[in-house]
Amino acid sequence: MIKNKKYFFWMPWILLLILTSCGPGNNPYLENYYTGIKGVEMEFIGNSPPDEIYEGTEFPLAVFISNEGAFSLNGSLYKGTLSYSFDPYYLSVKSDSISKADLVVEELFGKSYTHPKGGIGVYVLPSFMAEKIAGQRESPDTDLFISVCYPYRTTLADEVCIDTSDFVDVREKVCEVENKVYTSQGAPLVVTSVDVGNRKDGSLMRPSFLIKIENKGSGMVLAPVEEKDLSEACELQKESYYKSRWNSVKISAELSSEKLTCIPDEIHLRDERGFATCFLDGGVYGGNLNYYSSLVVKLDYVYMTSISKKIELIRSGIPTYDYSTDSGNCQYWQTDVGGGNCIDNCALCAQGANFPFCDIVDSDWDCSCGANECLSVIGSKKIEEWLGKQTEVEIEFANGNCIFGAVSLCQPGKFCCVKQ
Amino acid sequence: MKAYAAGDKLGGKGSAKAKPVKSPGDKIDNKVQKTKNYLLDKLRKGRNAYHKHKPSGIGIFLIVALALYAWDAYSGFNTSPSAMGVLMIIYAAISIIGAFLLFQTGPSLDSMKLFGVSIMALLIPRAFVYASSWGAISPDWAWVFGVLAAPWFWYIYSKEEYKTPAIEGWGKLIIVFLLLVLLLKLSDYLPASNQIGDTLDPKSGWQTFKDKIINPAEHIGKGVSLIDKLKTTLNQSLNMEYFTGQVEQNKDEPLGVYLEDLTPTEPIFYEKWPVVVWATLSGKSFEDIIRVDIGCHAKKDDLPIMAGEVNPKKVELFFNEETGLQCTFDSLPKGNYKVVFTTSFDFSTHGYITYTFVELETKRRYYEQRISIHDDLSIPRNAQAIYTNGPAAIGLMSHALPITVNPDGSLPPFGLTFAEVWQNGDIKRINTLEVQVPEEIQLENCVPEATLKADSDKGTDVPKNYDVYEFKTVIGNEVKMFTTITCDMKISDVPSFMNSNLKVVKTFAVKANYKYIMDKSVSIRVEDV
Repeated sequence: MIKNKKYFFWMPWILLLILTSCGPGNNPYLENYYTGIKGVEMEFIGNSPPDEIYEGTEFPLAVFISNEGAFSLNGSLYKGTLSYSFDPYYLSVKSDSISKADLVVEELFGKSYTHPKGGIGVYVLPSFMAEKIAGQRESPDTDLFISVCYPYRTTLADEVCIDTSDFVDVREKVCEVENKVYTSQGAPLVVTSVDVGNRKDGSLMRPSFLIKIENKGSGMVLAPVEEKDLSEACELQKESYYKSRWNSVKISAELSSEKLTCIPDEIHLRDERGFATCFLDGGVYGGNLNYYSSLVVKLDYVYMTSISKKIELIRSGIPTYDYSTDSGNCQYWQTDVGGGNCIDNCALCAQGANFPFCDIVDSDWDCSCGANECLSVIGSKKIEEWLGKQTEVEIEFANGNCIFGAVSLCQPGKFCCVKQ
Repeated sequence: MKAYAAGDKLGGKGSAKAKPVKSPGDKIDNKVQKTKNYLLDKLRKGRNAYHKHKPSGIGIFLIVALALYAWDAYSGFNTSPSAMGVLMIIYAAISIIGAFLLFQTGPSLDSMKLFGVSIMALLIPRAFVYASSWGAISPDWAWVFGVLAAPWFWYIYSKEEYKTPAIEGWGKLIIVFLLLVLLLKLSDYLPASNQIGDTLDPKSGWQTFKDKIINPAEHIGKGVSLIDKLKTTLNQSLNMEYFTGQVEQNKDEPLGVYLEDLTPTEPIFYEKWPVVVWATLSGKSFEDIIRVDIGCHAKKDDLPIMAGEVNPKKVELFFNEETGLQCTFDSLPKGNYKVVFTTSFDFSTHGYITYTFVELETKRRYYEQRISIHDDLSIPRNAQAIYTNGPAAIGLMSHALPITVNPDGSLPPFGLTFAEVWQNGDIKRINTLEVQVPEEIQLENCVPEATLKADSDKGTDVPKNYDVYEFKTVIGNEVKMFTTITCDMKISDVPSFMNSNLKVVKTFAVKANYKYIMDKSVSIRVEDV
């Protein structure tokens, strides 16, 4: 009995294990790839660029790009473009290292049963050079900014119930009309809800859908382009016509292969959200119809995501100097009047120079005074006597005919004074 | 309650008073009890007497204790076993003196507290020093906390029984002093024009303190005094154009030239004997050799009276070097003098600011979506000017980022302030003042006037595609406090400037080369032979 109890305890778990181990979850044909809010994503590969780089050295720049959405960039019309920006004061591009074609993201499959993880690619961008650090800066840092622009499409396909009855029908209904809410469709731009309704057209009813969309991805929606211009969708974005239409999305919808008319057909997002109303304008529609139908909504747009990395530049070592050349600088109390000819500031002031400190120097002054000439001794003792006899005396400094203080007019020990 | 000895006859006749009969054990117990009571009574009396009496020597005791603590702080709360051993002996000595001579508590609970406070005075500041060595707090904060702890002061000041009017008055002054120390430290976090470039060892705490408070004029730029910060704040409050920046923190030695360790070779000199003073000159520059002219002279009553013979007279400091200097006077008359070393050198300070530009239409598109352009395009909120260490500071006009690029190419103005920051010298002459600007951007209507340098005159250290604007009118000027320059900025060709980029990042650089004269002095005394 106890053994049977144990058996009954373990049996459901074993069954669960058997059922889940080979279940439909691993079947790529049954996997829903139209989920998630990512499109083309980027990340820097390993140490390229490095966190720290010595000045004057070259470093590689490579990014890993993956298509994590459900739409494929086929490489012909749909292709991405990489761009980069940097501060030219600290970094430069080795111009010969890459061509414009190398910056095109050609073929990158979206997630599907043939590419369950989506397409991936490694893109080696131009080699960069860390410039020599100019001036006295020790270790500046700078940003390297990479962005990828690509045309993309969000596709929503679902079954909706159409009911064009405008009166009470006693017959049993095939389906009940319900509004739909969605979280993602394997793309950064998401159809968040579809409200199913009817537009009255005389005695007939047109199926109508209020479609709400939102940018849930990490990037920016640019301006949509015509199909003929898809191959240059990213280059066109810098034109003012397109730039003024950034944050816009083209919307199209079909109901059972019948094209719907969408107003507007280009949704301008506000606060990352927007909506359009799509209705059946042609084909078969009428009254008192109740059926299931497939609704397909497509959003076409150009998207851009960016990444950046901060790089610290490090001085590579001690600078190199030419010892052979002397600066030829004058002494601090002198000024170079040309040709390495240094003249005492006091004399220059006396000659009429216009330095700020010259106000206190008169025209008949020079550096001819030493300490003796600038001192007057109280008690009729000359400084020589004082020095010689070691007599204790009081001294005071005459301010009238010598300039003391911080202004450097003459060499140490000499003072600017009336010519002696 | 009465105690009856064994053998008492309860309710019996005979003697009215029964004498208790004591056993030998009881006698010993009683003696112990008596001794215990006596000692407790003594202690109680002693304590009561002590509490009623305010000890007269408490002020002297506090001075001695604080002097010891100040000396400990001066030496950076040295944690070496030998230093701690010496301090332990001194603290034990003052505790004993305090307990027996000044406080006259003798062996009491209070005297034990005195020993406890001594132990705290020894250990608390060292706990902060250890905390800094573990990275819990910065070394300079460890020093400040150590000073603020001052256990002897707080213990005596907080005890009512020790409070005399003198203690009360001096205590308030000491509290003001401690608050000043704290404010000084907090001032490092003021949004002033500069920040201290190097982290401090607790051992240099006193030196920094002395530099900043006691003798800010002697402080030569390894940090910036409170006075500088107040000066900056004052200028800004006067609405004078004053742009600020942040000094780049050098990893090792700060950039600049430093005169240190001025040392007379004798404690006292004698007349007719040579007077010799030594000094150390050190300098660091990433850019060029620093050529320093050196002089020395003696000052009496703040006036120079005699030039000394300095050796060497000229020094070339390469990258990061130091050298010894010697100043000799054949003889000096009796008296007190200051021997002043004067150095003169050309030095360069660089200022940098990085602006991020975004087209007006791009900015609108981001605002429209309420997407943070700063987060999405990795743009900082404000441009931060950085300048290199040295006698001068270069502040640059900061703007909220990104800077909007209008279709007509107009931009907000550009401005810089060149200011003197070191206190013990003067910028005697500006040799050059240049601004390096990306060639797509033009500086216009500069005040004072700017001249665009020809490509051939730019120099080798200017990056490619950069223009150099020179401000010739300021060349030769002496900088007393600061000089400010402002210009209009404009982009000549917006499409080619922005290209297809969402944002454009450009750094502007300023180079100022100037002649700086710095002096530092030491006092000497000359006596009769």
